[in-house]
Amino acid sequence: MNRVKPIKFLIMMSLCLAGLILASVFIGPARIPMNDIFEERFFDILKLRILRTILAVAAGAGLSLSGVALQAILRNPLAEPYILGVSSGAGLGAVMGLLLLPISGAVSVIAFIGGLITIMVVYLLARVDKRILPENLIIAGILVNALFSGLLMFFVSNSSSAKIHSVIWWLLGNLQVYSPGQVLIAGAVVSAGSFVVFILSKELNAISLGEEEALHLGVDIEKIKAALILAVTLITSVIVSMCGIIGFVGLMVPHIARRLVGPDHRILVPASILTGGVFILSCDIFARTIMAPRELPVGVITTLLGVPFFIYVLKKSGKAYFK
Amino acid sequence: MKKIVTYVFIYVLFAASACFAGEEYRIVSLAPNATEILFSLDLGDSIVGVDEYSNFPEEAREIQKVGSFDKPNMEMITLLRPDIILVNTDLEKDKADYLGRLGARVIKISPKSVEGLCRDIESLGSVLGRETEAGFLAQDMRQRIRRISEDNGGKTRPKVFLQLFDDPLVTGSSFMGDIIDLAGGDNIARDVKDDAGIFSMEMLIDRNPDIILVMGFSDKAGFPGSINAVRNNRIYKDLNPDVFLRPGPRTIEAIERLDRIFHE
Repeated sequence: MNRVKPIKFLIMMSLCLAGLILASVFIGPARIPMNDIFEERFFDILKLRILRTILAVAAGAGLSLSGVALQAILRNPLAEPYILGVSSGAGLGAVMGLLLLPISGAVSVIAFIGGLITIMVVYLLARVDKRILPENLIIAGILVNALFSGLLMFFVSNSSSAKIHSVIWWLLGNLQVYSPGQVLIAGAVVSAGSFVVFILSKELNAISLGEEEALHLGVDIEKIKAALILAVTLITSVIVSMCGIIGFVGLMVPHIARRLVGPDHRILVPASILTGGVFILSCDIFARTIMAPRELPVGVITTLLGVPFFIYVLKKSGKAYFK
Repeated sequence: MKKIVTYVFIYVLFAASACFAGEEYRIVSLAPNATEILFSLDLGDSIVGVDEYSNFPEEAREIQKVGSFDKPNMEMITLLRPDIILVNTDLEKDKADYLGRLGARVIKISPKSVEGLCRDIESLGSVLGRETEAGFLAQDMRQRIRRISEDNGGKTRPKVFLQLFDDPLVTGSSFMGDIIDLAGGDNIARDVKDDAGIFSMEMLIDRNPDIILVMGFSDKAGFPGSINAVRNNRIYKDLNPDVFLRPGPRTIEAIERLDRIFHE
């Protein structure tokens, strides 16, 4: 697959995203006749669609961005936003919220805290001699993931059937939010995180070459890694606590973007943000219209559409799978 | 001497049968609704094991627990040597075959309608020698339903939405849809055609229910204000999910409660 001119690609993707945002607001299972346009009902539906669209873009952008940053920091092509255990930590938090502390509005907050605590544990486990080695981080992530999945299974297997259903439904996740406040939080965290990752994209380039090389280039690796991990953790925790676990986006989008615009993070970061938004938004339009009035969890579509597309891109590019 | 031996033999036989009189069957119930049905057929004493969700009536809590409906503990069931096993979902084939080899008959009670429930109760009654009790239970249910539908003859049917979970928004039709129908309501999520499915919030606004029923815990309170049910403050939250979601003897209570809600 030929690389596209970066600027051209970014402009194309921005237009694509703008078009999809409009489509997402005006396409939906409920058809509103034009003479109803000033009814309160119409505004309620429009409001839901706008909130959902913003959250979808934030989630797509945030997950893809986290994927890019983690693939560089960990120097591992399999890295994705959930690799350090945020998803299992947030999942465990949500389960405990649903089972032990059923207070309105508390579940997402507990899930968010669960995600943060998990990364803190992983970070401390991976820290040896005041350094964070990428391999240690991955192994610590796998260990904590395993432990928390085990605990999650324990809670699920010891709760009533109605509550098990709640937990499963919660984990499936959903992009529909009802309050502008939540969307505001998600938007703010993802924007701030994107900003941090973007201004550190030069350092990301250095780190992805290897830590020795980065040191020679005068980069304070440990500080930068800590800042990036914090940004990525906040983004992913917020997204998981609001949308559940949306699979595959954070792994696939960075790879596709890398094929298209090359490995320079100054271009790769914005390219991934845009591609992530475009991808998840198209998936969500599918997910909520294809079986209307039922909805499919968006994670189902991201995986079912994403895997074949990813295979196509990998095969067509004909290079090594990670470059 | 021979005579005495015969008498003693017969006496022992009678004594033994008297001992087991309270235990015509050894039943394992892997479904809370089946447990409730057994108790109302006066077969509570024959239940030797129940699933962990069987919590009604109070006596059911005392019975040996043998795992959940989807993960029954086969070792414990083997030890209990049941001859009848009641389930509400299909067991995996290897488990069902194994229980068959143990000599147990597996009966599934998973009605999709209230009439189906009545028939399930009757056929269970005839299998377990409780035709009279089962017939009475089913007839009582049918009669009370007929009375409700006669009362509601000319009345308008309110549009009803049932919320099983809030985020994602989950609803169901199937058995619950039938309960809503029989109580004189109109389930707006009829086309979900399943016990549970994720439902689009904007379709909820579009179809505009007059009444919203909230089952169990709800984390978010987010129904938009343009919905009739919100405007008229007709969102009902104090409904016991066990009564509403289990096809069993308490189903009629659920229907009567809904009838009062729909036509107050």
